[in-house]
Amino acid sequence: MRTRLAPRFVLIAAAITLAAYMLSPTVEYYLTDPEQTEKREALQDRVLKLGLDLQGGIHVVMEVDIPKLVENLASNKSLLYEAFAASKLRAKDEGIDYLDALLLEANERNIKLARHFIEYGIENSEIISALKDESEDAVNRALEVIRNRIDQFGVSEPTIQKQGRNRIIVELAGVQDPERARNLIRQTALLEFSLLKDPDVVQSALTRIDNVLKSMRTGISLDSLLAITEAKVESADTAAAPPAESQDKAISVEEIFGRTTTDSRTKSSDSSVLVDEQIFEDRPFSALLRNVQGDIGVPRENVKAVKRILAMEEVKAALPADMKIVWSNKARDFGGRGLPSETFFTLFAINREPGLTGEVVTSASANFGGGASSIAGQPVVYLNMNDQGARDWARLTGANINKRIAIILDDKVHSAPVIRDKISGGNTVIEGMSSINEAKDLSIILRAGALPAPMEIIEERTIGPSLGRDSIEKGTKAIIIGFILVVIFMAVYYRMSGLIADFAIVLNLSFVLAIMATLRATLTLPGIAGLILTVGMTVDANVLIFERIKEELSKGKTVRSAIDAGYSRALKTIIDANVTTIIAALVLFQFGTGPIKGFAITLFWGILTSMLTAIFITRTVFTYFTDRFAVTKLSI
Amino acid sequence: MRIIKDTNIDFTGKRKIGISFSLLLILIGFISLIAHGGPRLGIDFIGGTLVQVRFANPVSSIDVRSAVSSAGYAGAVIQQFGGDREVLIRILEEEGAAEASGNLSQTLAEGFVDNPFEIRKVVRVGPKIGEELRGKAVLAILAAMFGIVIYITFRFEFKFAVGALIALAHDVIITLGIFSILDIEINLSVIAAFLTIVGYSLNDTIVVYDRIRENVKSMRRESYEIIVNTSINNSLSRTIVTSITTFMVVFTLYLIGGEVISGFSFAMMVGVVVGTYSSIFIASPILIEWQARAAAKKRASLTSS
Repeated sequence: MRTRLAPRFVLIAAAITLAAYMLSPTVEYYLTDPEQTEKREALQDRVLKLGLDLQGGIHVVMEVDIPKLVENLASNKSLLYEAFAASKLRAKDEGIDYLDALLLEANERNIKLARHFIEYGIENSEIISALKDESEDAVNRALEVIRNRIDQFGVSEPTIQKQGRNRIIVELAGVQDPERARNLIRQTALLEFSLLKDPDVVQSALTRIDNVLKSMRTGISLDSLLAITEAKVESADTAAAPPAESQDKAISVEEIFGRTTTDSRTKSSDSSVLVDEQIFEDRPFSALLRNVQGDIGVPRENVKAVKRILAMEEVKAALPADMKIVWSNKARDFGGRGLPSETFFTLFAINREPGLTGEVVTSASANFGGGASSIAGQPVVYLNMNDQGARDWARLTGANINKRIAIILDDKVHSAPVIRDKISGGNTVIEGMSSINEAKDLSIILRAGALPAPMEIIEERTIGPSLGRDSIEKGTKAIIIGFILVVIFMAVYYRMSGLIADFAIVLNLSFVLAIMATLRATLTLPGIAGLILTVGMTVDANVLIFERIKEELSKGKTVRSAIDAGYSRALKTIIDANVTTIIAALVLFQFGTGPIKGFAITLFWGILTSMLTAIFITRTVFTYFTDRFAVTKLSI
Repeated sequence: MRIIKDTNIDFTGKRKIGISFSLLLILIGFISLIAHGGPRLGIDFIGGTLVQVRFANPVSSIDVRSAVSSAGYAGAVIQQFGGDREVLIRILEEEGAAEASGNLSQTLAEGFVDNPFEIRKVVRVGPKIGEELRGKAVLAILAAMFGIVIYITFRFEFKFAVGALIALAHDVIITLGIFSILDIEINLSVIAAFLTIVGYSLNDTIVVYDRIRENVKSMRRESYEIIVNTSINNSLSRTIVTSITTFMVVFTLYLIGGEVISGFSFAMMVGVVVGTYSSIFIASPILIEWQARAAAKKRASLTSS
């Protein structure tokens, strides 16, 4: 009895041709010189893409910071702070939505939210649901803003999508400078221009903070301390600016708060700060600071301690209501001239109410400063403002000549130039960028607009391009060696039949890759692992069949009937065994993020194609050979 | 060529030894887990920041540590990694991990002026996400098990599903225990490996089960124990050949696949061994115990009526 093999061969040939067709763009793409961008772009849609872990890139999940959004929207919020804090805790403890927690808190505390959220409704529940809409709306708008920024940054094939109600996923593959991309995505772009407080106002605020700390350390009441120090400052005004070369000593952060009394030098240096010993007793806060060319410098070591102090409620209360303290956007090195190099962050005391905000900016562009000005040759960003903005800007600058104005982005001061002249026409310049790329990015952010709500990066995975290259090299090497080992093993163990199985393995690998390229799936490192496992599965199916055939042969069956019986008996087992793996793959796909999903996809398709190759194709080959050569002894 | 000739090893007769051995392994695993205060979860599940930095020239982890703590991350864990030029810096969430990667790159640039470096990888997972992923991972493993039980019940009988399920739990618990003993971190890709182990171990179990189902029909006169034992022996050569090839492949992956995938492939290696063992000594013997109990019950109800 001869099986009609022609239709089977046609089917197999068709499958192989189709796979070759589906894979050819990929092969062509990766063989093309990266310089030939046009050709590569034409192919791009049909190639098997490499995941972030293989070509480098950045994966970021952002979430609307709902508590902050609500706080921003509320009026008279000072009455609400306690409820906010309680809701935050409650949301965490009970695992509920922050807004639901806020509703519960508001009802329990008898707070009429309508007083604070005037436009959002009357009933508390009504306001909460309006806030929910607001946060969802904020995400949608943020999506637009981020998309705009990425477009201008110029990344090919970015993935920017919404996840759930208040999250956004941004995935940029093949980015060479992930740090830069990350900054571009995350900046909220809240641009403000605020006047600096006068130095004497700042000095008295610092003194007040000193006193708050001192009273905490010594237990002396604040009022009595105030009287003493104010007298002192008047009598010895020269002490206001700490001498440049002072006796620094390292003390622990705790000591500032008066909690440690043991010798500080024995403590580990990890949590120590640099203070000016001469004035530490008297002015514990000022001792952490340095006078750096007229600005308040904070040595890097002290930043954490200063942040902690500034975050204290008692300290906040001691500051004038209209004053806000903000940090410089980066540290600067003020060493040299015989002094040891030291890096400082700078603190600025500014008007809480900004003179002008970034909403008036109509265009922004990056360039090098020109002419003979102080910014010549430096990267800067030029701004244009709308009419209203130009008028306000002219008024603001005109009225404050010779004062300093801070240019603040996302609560960080980029520069604080002195106003020399009234600026009319709405043009202005932001300086203080360290590279033209930074200036370019800033202009992109300002052009694309601000994020409509504070967003927080809750997950970030960045793979540098070199690590990706290493991974792909190692991954490919592993798959090739593993593959060769299996091929040799099968050929040795099952001889001719093993070679047929090897043929099936090769076909199987190309089928999986072809399907993935067609589905526009992405090959990840775990995906490579999935491929290797697929090889294992193909082998398993063949082993099951071969062992069965051997059994049948040892029972004395003819080659032909042993093959038939072997296949039909093994089939059931193979299906049962593979379906369970498919279930695992589907679950993985459902639950997995990026790389794991890649594994699930390859595993899923690999199992399907392995059934096709291991059962259908090898059987066809077996049948062909046994028919054609009238085999009486099977090489198995 | 045959590694395994027709065998007739008394596997089921030694099931008590097998089960005791497994219980011992599980116990040791549990002790280690308790001693370590639970499995060692990676950044993916507890939140925090991991930065992988490669320097142009060799560095000492002590220098890196002092630079990192000067940036304000005193509790950071520094780990030398794949040679003396690469370090892993781990910062827990409480230490302000959100800003860490930016701050660190600046600090390192200042601290190692003569030793240029490259940030190879940054993973930051917020605490909320970590919690979510943890929940999802457990859910995924449970869901996979549930789906598989349904399928086996449908294709075989319920008692097979129970046997398979116990074998699966056995494999996952033992692998977890081994990870704990060796103090290897559990991250997302290890979870993927766990799920693959679930799939693989089941593959093995089902091959034997299939044989049992077949032999039950052809060996009616024999006792259930003999049927099970014969079935294990029948499929033994397949079990061993497949395990060898799979192990070979996963071992290659472990040796040369790079650090990124080593956790995954290690889990798979353990899983292949444990999975093979469990389908012989756990999954099938359970059927015998189940059968014996069911028979006793039947007899009891017959005599009482």
